[in-house]
Amino acid sequence: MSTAMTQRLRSFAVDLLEQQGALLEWPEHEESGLAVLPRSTAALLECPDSVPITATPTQAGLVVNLTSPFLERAEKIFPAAASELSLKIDTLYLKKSAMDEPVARAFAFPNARVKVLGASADRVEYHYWHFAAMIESDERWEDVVTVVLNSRSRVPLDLPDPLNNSDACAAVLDDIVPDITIAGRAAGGIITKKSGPFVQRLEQRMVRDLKRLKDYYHALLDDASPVRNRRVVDVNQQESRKLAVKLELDRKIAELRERYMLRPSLRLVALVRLDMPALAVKLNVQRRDGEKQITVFWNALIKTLEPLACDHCGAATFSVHFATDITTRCAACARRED
Amino acid sequence: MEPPFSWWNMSAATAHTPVVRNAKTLGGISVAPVQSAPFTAVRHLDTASIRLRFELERLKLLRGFDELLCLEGLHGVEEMPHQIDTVRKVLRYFHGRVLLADEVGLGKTIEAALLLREYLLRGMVKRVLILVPSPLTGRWRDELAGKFGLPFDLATSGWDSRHWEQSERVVASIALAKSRRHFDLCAAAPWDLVIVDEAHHCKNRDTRNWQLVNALRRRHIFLLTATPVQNNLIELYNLLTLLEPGHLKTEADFKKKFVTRGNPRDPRNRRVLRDLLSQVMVRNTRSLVNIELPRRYAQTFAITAGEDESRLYRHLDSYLRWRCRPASAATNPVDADTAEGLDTPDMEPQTDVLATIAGGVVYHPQEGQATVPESRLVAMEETWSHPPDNLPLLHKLQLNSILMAAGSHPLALRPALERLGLQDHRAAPLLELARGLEESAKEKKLLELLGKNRGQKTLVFANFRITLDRVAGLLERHGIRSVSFTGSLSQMEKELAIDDFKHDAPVMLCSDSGGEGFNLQFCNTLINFDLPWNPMRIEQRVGRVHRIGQTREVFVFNLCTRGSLEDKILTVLNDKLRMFELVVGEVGSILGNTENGEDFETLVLDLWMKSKSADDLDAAFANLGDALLTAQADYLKTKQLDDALFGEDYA
Repeated sequence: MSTAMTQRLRSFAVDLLEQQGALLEWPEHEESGLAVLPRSTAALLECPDSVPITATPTQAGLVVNLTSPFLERAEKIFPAAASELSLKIDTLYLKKSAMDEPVARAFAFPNARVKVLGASADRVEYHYWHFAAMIESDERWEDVVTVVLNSRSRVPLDLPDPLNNSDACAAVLDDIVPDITIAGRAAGGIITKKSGPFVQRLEQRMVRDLKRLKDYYHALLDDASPVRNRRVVDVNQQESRKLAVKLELDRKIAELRERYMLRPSLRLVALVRLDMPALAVKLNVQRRDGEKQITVFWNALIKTLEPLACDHCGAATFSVHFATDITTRCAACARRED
Repeated sequence: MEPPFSWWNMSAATAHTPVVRNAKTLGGISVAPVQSAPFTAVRHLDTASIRLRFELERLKLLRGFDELLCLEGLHGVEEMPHQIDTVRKVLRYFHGRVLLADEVGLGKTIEAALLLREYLLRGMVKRVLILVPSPLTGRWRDELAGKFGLPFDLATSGWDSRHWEQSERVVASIALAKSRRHFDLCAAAPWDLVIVDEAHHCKNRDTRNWQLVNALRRRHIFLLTATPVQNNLIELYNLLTLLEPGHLKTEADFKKKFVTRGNPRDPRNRRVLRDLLSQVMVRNTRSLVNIELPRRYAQTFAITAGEDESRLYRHLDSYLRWRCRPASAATNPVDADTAEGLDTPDMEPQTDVLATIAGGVVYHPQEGQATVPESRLVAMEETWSHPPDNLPLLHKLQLNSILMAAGSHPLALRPALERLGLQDHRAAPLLELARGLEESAKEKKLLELLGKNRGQKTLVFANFRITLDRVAGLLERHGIRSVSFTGSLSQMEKELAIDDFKHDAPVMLCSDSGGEGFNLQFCNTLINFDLPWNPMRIEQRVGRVHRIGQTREVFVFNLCTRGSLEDKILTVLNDKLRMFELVVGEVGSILGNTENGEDFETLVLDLWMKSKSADDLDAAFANLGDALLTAQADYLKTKQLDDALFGEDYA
């Protein structure tokens, strides 16, 4: 294992254990040290309360190494399900000028007349959903995916990490049920995009292998046919040989498909809730005989208007179409519905 | 449009229970239902904890192929750079289906075990089947457990479908797995990874070996052989068809494109063929990985035993033969033996020893006074006339152990003889005779060799702990400092012993189970005080000093008692096979070419059991030598063929 990796693991272990109340004597450049752990932590890590701690897997004690079960056991220190953190930013600059022009510049409303009714300071909760995603197949793809949603507009956004924002402090927020449906859907989109090259590579290989397999077994079938097979063979024998080849081809194809099958799994790691000021801009939408008021938000962190969410697929869009019931559609969904 | 990976479809009513949806296909590949942990109640954490939580997830992602996990936590494995390169290559480009065809002695087994460990540690495989020739099953299981920390079950003939289905890590002999009783059970169980050692046994698609491997349900497969082509190129085709059916198209296509008409050993279109092979096969050669070891020389000293020591071995030999006879065949052992020619100068009837009990006199020899009085041997013939009817036949393992102890040192025989004496009072005189012997004739030769090698480091090997202790005492009495190194030492003690040997003690006394994985290249002289019957174990001993990093010529001295089984084994291995001049690993390949030859130890015991006289045994060993020569010729032919096909620079 590289030195950088060892250091990173060591640093994580020290922070984690000290946070749990452990006493550690493990000088930075020493391979091993000593840890005195709270009884509950020791039980989770499956080691004695007082234990040598080391980065070397061959030594006895609490081994902090990628090959040891340390990371899996450390996971037990955290809640079994997802972790949640609530943060709050009390004040942020909010735009004060009229919003007509910014709205007109940011959005396109091809099939409706939209008018800005006004803007007012508001507070909005943003949800940062952190998922661990994995796709297992002939190879494996893994990543940590973060989806940020505006809890009011439910639009997925690309926002800076609040853990790096010094103005964000711990808070007790109103008890709301976070909408994991939309988060999951957005995560699916991100994962589809991120894993694209991986899936494409697998697809190419599967197509190649499938062709190879079929060519091979079809050639075997041809060889078994009376025309190609010059040896005098009983017709029944030939038929049974062909059947055997066909059955083996089916089995091999099934094996191949099983080998390349994508076996995805998703685990919610954490939800970070951030409550912060935002500018709520009220819009009046008129389409045919219908009329409806909707809200768009001016985001104080990125200092720009947020897109709207497509009510059909959930995607963020600045080119907003409206269905007959004046629900929003992204361009792609609108094209499909037309 | 819905993304293909749409994990969550929740309504407000099921806010905390994800409903999994299955997007049918993606890019032509089917997508299994998403597995997801339920989104149950969350627990509030502080910022620092959340940071740690994220770091934990990121650290888990770092288990990418750039960082091999398999290299950590090994015991006594000295992985070589080409082996690590092979592991990376197989992981990145071969996707778990590869023919590992390194030249003999370059460590295919280690490569396969490292790959296996990597796959297991990453959770990429769970159910693993390892198919090996019968004599290698125990070794695979022991080495995987001891060196790689991977416990495996050993399949036995008593296994039923439940065992095959439930056991997740199995080492099985291919002979067992292909047997009528187990073929279907083994093939029906789904395996994530199958490893086939000595895969050239699957070169012929008409054999059950090939058919078994072809029938196995598996995702990944490693085939291991140093000689993928033994007789003709179709063997290679058959092996690769097991790996990737259709990779080389049909047999007819393959022959047409790659085999010279009229010469099935001669490849055509070599470049194209090698390109195709390089997609499924890794072959490291000595020249490629730049492993050139200095020469090694061996000399065997057949020592004439003293009179009492000779008597002990002769009597023991006869007694053991007598105990190997079923009662029905031994109604009159003396007559039978005489009739079968046992009464030869080398193997005279052993009336003297066994008579000591028959005479009812208990004899307690003094130290160094081994002679059993002649008067006590008179009743021996009468004793011989009684068949061993109420005694169980000696098991092969017992025989093996006793005979090997006899080849080591009279002291090593004592425990076995004590056990025999408890079972059969007629064996007690043998024990008495052994008790009277403190010295072995080999000891003088050992002292002489050490005297000549003064100032140099010498490694002395022995099979038995008692022998090692005896030699340690002997050296101490002669003012030669030595350090002992056995498998029973802790890691720390082993390191201290090696350090002592390197810097101070001129001699290290080593058992077969000690020393593996330690660098002993500072020593270039090895004395085999006794010999394992298994040539692979002899090779392992030599390999402790004759390995990468050795810069000097290596000298091997073998001590054996003249006329003993070890003498005969050495004559065959050294004189016929020139074993000590072969490259590490070649002995195994040659033995693998003989019928049941891989199990050389059993072969030797069988020869001993079947022979009826010393001449008979000599003739049997002569035949064995001829068989080995034929096997060696076959091996060389195969090697030439493989070299011609793959060249020295195949990568």
